[in-house]
Amino acid sequence: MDSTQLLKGVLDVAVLAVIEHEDGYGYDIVRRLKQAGLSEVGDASVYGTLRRLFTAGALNSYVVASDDGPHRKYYGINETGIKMLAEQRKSWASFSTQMTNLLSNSRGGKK
Amino acid sequence: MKSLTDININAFAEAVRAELGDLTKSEIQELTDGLEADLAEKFAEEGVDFETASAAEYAAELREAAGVTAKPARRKAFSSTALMQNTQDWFRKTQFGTAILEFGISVRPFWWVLRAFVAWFIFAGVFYDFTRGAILLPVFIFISIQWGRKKWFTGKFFTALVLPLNLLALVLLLPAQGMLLIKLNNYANAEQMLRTMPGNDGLRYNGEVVSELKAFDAEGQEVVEPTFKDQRGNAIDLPATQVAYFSMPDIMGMNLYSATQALKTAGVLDGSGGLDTAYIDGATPEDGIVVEVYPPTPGDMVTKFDVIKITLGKK
Repeated sequence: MDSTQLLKGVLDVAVLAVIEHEDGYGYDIVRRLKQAGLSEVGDASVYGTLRRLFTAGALNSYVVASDDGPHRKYYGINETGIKMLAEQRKSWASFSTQMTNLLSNSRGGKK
Repeated sequence: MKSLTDININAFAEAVRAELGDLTKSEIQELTDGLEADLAEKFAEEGVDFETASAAEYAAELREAAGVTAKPARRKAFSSTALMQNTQDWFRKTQFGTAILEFGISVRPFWWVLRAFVAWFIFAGVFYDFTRGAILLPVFIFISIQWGRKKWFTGKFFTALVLPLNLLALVLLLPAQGMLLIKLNNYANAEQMLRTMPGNDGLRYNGEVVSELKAFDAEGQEVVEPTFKDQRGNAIDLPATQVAYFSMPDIMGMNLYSATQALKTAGVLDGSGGLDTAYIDGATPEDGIVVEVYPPTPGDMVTKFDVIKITLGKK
């Protein structure tokens, strides 16, 4: 199964999860996602998701100056984002349980 | 001043925006807000290994992340921007192609100067001469560089013109180069002609051409056939073309006095040439008449330095 397609539906919650405990800048968040096993995540998808979540009011943003590179735009989760993450966790837990059950029950096909 | 990396990033960002061209301006703005900063960040993190995805793929990811679906593509007759982007994408498919593309991008400033030269050459050739038009060359180069850096002429109209004008400049590059070589050759030849042309580069004194130069020793005696050399040891040749030519008058049948006057009137006897007279049949200057003039014959072009030979006989 193409995991890229699955990833599209859960990228919001994945991004929220990796910055739940520590703020991060765009490329750093891409790296965290890849380190978490989502190796096929695209830069543009993450940057786009960050912008969308920020516009939706789920993230705060601030710029940190850098001496040896471009200024970095950090994103941090706020109250709205934390609520959103909690809801999506529930949804995911429910959805994944249903899917797991479905796939387990259907193992072997109809009798 | 922007670095080449900045220029490349800006070019890529523009290409991504072009890929989103079916969206409204505000949608494009929303999707690509901070795009250059994101790309710069990626470059800073990945250093020399920076190899971005194609603009089309990047734009597609942005669409998906924003939940914006691509609108049905409108049939376009031709888009030079899309053609350039597709070409870039084609190069980026392989590592070798990417290397070639990156090299091409890195020498773009050289091309900006070259195309400015072609444009200037045509402009100066049509409206000016190249010497007077030379002052405009830096202006053309400056405009071309600003355009290349996307500082000026960033509107859609001018963006669409970039490819056709670049191709035109490429086509005209060789003829322009050839014409320049011809011009330079002509200038070199003219210079050579001026240097070697007698009279134009001869000996001058107080602004006037010196066509005759005599030398005298300490006793005031004229030195016969002296030679003169300049500070580099080169022989000084008097400008022969500065010597005037006169038409030999017909002095046949005149006496010596009348003949001399006629020759002076014609300008022939003003110089050092003089007359070489010969008498025949026992004639003397008192009763001599001109019986023969040879050479030169009447109508011949002579200079005042030529010796006019005349033969005198009795009336």
